Amino acid sequence: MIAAALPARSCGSADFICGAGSRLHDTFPGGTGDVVIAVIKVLLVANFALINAGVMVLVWRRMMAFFQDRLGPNRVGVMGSLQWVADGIKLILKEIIIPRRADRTFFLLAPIIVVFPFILAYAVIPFSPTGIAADMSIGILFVLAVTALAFPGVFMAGWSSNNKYAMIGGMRAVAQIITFEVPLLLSALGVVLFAGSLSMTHIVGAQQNVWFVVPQAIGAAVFLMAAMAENAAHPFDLPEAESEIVSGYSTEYSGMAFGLFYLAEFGSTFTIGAVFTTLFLGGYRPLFGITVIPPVLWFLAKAYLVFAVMVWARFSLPRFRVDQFLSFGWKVLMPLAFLNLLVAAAELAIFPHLVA
Amino acid sequence: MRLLRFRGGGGGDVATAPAPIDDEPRRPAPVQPGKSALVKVNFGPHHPSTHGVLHLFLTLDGEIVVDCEVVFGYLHRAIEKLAEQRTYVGGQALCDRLDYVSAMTNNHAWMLTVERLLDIEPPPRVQVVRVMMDELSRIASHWIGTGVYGQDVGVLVTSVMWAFNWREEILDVFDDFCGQRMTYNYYRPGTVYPQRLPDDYERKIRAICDRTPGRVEQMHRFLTRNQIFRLRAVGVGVLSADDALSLSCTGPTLRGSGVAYDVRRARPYAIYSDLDFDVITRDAGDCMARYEVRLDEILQSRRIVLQCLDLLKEVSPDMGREPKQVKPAAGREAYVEVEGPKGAVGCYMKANGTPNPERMKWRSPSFINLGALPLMSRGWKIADLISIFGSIDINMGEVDR
Amino acid sequence: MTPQAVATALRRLGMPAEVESAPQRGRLHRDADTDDAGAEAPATAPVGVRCEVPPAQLLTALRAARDELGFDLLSSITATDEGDHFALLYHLVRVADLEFNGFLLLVSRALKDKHPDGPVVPSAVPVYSGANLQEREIFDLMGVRFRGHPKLTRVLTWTGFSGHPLRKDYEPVDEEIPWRLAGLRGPDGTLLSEEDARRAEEERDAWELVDSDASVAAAPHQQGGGGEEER
Repeated sequence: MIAAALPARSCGSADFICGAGSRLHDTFPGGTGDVVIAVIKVLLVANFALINAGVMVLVWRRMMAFFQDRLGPNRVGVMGSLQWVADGIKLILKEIIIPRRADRTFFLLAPIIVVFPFILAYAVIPFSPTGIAADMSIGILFVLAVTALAFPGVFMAGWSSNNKYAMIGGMRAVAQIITFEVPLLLSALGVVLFAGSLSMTHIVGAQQNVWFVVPQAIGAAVFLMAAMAENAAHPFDLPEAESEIVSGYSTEYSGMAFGLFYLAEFGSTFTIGAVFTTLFLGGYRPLFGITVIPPVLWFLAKAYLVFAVMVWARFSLPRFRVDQFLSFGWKVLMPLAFLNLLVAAAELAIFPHLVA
Repeated sequence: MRLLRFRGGGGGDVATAPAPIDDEPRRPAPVQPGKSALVKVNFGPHHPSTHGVLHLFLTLDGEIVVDCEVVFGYLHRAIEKLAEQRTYVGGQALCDRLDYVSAMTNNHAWMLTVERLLDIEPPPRVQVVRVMMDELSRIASHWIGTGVYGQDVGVLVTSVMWAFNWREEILDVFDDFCGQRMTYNYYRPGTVYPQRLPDDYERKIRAICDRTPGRVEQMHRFLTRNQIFRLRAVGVGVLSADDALSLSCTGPTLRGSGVAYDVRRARPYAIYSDLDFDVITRDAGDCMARYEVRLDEILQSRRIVLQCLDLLKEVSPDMGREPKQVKPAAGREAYVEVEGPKGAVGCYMKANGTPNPERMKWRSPSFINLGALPLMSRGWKIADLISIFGSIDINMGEVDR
Repeated sequence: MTPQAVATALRRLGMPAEVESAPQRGRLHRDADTDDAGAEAPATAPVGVRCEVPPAQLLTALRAARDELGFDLLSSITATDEGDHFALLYHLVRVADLEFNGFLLLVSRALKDKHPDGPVVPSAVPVYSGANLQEREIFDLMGVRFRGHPKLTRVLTWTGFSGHPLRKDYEPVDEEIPWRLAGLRGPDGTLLSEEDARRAEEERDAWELVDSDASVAAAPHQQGGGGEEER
């Protein structure tokens, strides 16, 4: 991540980060400046990812409570804003109980493998015109590849727990992730067609005239559903279906190991929101040209909007049965994604001025 | 004990075709137990979905339930034995703990039995109050049954929170009437205790009745018309009418299979023969049918409660008097059934001339309806098993006694 | 079908049936005046039929009730301990018949004396499959055994429990029993291995039986101690 974060020297805009970057260059001449900036970017992104996950927990729980006619956390901190800190401290202080016959190495390795991919994905997300940690030319490909890295961790968790419920959960997760990988990639491909590039900054740049959600409504819907299924978000959360298999693959986990799964769930939810915003909602581009609000805030607002939609879906919908939604993935989402590609190609041919 | 048999082969051979997304009735997968390894899983007794401490010993072929053995008794408190050491009136407190989500119907069954033994009958006003309490209790229990069924199907407690919130108003009413929210001990032979009705009960009960249709509609919008819910409930766990009767099922489990048997109509007690209400049935016999029967019964109960509120104004104000001694003659026995929310609740008592019953036996509907679970769930998947189990609406306090 | 018709049909099958009557109940619009004036006894009406059936004819009676008389719901099976025999009460219902608003009650008495463990009675499961759980409960709590039941095991008490709690002569055991002594059998069918028995005895001796009523001083305690030494 550090290597990818080494920036190009030139930056034209009066961006604060870029200004700070150039001052750092003056302080640390030569290559060290680049490394320092890269390290700072890494720290910023990683910390943002983790702290944001905590903040999202609060938003999630308050929204859930609102749907359920109750209040939600409102004791710790102002309006419950420090609830996630309290939860985090509690989880760190708890014992990680490892079942006697569980495979110890994989049991402890699994949460780590589940957590780090989503942090990696944050490296290529453009928070603002120059606020991107690593501007890779294959940005979207990197994101999709990296988020798929989480599934061995899920399967490891299920298998190594020596628990039939966990095993069932892990197997369901594998089937689900394999199924929904295809529509996910195909719907992202539609966007790539429009933008003509795999780079995230170029994709945002190509949404100058119209946000891609308009010409690619089908693709956007397919992408959102496939991404939710990839991350086992409700209503696709069968791997951890609470009412059937207790906690699925994370049944045997307690303490911070469980905390890492929890963190990964929220963090990857934000990743979905961020990637969806970049691909379809114009990234950091302002709505109606209101440039008073800085682009970073626009980006965060849009990502949280997508997050809110996902929370809404979570607490309003029942859960699918395994075979029902696997067939949904293969028989409905995949054909729709193909259809979306055709539509995208047709639109590009007919309306070339859609894209900048 | 059956041993784990591994017969090589592909393993994980799911012997069913994925179902299309529509409302066609689904059939359970044909069971081919020789094809892959059969896994034995313990479902419960600690489990978010077993409505209490119920232990299901499942034999699974992949995700398909080959056999389901129901093991309970974790909540057995020997209530029938304890009742032999309590008095006829004091022991009523025991029956509250049986079906604890709707204790008024339990009270009614117990007290009707005692009254048959003593050959007394409460005055009309008491009967009306009892019916009103019963029906409010039925609404409360059906809210829990429906809300928790939503959780079983995967709604992540939204429906549970709503249902418990709506139930709170009914519990407040019970609190006003008898001082208790859950274990009432309200009825007495020939009367109720306390005999004085609370001052503003009519306003509160009418408020509940006004809000109930909107809430039922909200539940319909939330679940009944939800395509995912329909996938989970329509056509799942079909119980034919013949099977249901043969298995002695009663209540919504039986009425959801098309048999219009309701104790309130078959053997009317209290003032039910003078009240205007419908017996709700559905023909499909699947989980959706049982769930819809419950929601419609909430509306019927509301109808009865409104009639009772009007009757309380017309009927004479005599609230009856409790007999000084409750010592039925030796050799008398009585068996009374009452329509509880989960089925026919029966109480059998035998007297021996002392203040304590010689024998008390409780016919608990959940206990008997649970016997239908293995038949209903064979060939379905784990997720469907939970859906089917939730649709029977079991209360473990009643099952284990 | 009226109760009289049912009773007649049963008598024709050779079973002594009698119609039970009960006072007419639950009419709502009764005036307070009528109640004061000496309370005219409410009219009795026939509700239900009662029939004594010896255990040997139980299956015939149940089959006749279901097939010929149309009693399609076995509502409840109750067992009572009458001292020298168990009485089994079968309450049957005709679901579609609103005219017969009572039960058909078949009473079957099973003598205790010939079977010290519990009398054997034919199971109703071939006729009504809902009798399955109810008969298991009766076996568990009363000890009546049902011939023909697919799987007659305990249902409310735990595996290894001994005794039938609802019997009148049941002695509840108050001491804490280590699970090893609760009757679980080893793989070769023996109750306990020698080592287990020795360990269990050590455990048991570590606890002394203390009388729950503090006012009764030494005698029961010594009796308990004497019993231990005798063994």
